[in-house]
Amino acid sequence: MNIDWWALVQVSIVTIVGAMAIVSLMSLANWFLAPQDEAGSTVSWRRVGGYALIGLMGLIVAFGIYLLVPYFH
Amino acid sequence: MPIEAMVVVVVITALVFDFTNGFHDSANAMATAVATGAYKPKRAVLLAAVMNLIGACLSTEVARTISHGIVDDSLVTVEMVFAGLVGAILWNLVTWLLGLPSSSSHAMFGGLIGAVVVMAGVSGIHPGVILSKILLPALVAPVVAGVASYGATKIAYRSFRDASKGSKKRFRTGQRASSLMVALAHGTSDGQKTMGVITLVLVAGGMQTPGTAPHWWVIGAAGLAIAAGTYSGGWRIMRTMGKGMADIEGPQGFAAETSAMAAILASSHFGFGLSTTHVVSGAVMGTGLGRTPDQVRWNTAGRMGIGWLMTLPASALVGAGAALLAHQGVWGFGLVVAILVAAAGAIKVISNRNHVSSDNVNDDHEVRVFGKSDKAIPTTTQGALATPLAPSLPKGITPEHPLAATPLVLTRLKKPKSKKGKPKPVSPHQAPLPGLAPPPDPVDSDPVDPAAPVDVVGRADSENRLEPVAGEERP
Repeated sequence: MNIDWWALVQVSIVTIVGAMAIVSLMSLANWFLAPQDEAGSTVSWRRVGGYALIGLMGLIVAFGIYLLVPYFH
Repeated sequence: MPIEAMVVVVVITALVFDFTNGFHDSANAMATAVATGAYKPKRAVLLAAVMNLIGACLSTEVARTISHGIVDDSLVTVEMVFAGLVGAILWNLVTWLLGLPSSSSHAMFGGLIGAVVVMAGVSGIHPGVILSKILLPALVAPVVAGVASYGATKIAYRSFRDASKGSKKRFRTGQRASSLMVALAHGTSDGQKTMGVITLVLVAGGMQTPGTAPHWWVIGAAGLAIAAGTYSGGWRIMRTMGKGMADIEGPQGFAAETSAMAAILASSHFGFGLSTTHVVSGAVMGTGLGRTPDQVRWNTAGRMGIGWLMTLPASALVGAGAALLAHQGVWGFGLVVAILVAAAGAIKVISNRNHVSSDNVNDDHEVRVFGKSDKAIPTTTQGALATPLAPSLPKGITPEHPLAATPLVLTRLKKPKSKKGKPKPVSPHQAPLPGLAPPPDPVDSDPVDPAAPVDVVGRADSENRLEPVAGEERP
């Protein structure tokens, strides 16, 4: 009986780091865009940063779909 | 019994198993979205069904061995597959009745193990593979997903205190996206399970050449079966997953489904099999611990854990029994079918005593089988105030606490939004917070109109909370 412990460790690390990273992106985007939600507009760096992060999350979703769909490999 | 007839029956049984697989795992993708309102219940299961169908049809590589080396595949006969499926279906139905999330894959493996052991002996199974492919992942998956989800929840709730409408909307979109992806992932992984089973049965029955790809109708039928099962909702399990372990808010749903998705992708990439049910349950538990650690319902989690431990033995026992019976001949085979149908009917009838559907899935956190829920609607207001209902004491208040003797106050837990115009069930609830004036004796005051709007008051405590909580009615 051989258990691939290293694969298990890799899965754990990737899961934990990956999930926390994605939620951090979302939280950061919210923090950037919070004044805009309240007051209606905000400084440009916040707007650019916020939307850039949201775009990044969209790319991550696309990457997830790429990993998921067998056709792509 | 002619082999073709048996193959037909077994193929149908496999599709039935696929249907139960669908409604069992519908909650994995959509429970958090339904519980937080990111998707309306009916729309949630429709989308999940579509994603499952797409996922199932996308999976072009069907598992060569349905058991992944757990049993010796050269020993597996059509009868054993049938018996294994029967064990899995019955286990899925019983856990559905109890509202317990459980792994359909493990149920199928268990049923197959039982059938093989009884018919071909203990040498037919490989315990080492069982340990490394079933038991170890079952222990690891919830923990890994839970830790990831816990960390993600802490991040989500620490980085900003004020919840702007925009951030709520963004979390809602995130929730929707992650839930759809989990549904897609589920379709790709579990869809091929049944396709593999049906193909195996066709090969064993001599109706397909070994080593060829599954027929198009097998792919279509399996995909439709799992999609139909997903659409039927599995609301009992949906309720337990979304509300039974902890109360979930939007960001928590996002954290949980994202962690689950990360775990699923990572594990399939590194070749380490994880059950979707275990992963999502662990993630929901982790997120509950991340925001409200003292309000996690440990007894529900405990029951789920026991259910998971019992999955293999229980389905193996039923599979073994079914295999023995089916082996007796045509009458035995027919008897197994009859018992399966009768059991399914009985379970359905019992489930109607406390029916959970898309309309009431969010009304309670408990799935009851027998017995009346203590959140039952009183027939008249006077009757409600006069009869002592038996409420559950709120946390931290023992029967000896002075506040435990306060008379009952009717509290509405949610703002009424019922489409049919019926008022939502009003729950008897004792005054929970020390420091607030205890309400006057209700029998003396004017009758309370349950349809009157109730002030929604924020709860004065130190919990992280982004949304207000319905408070007590002020007389």
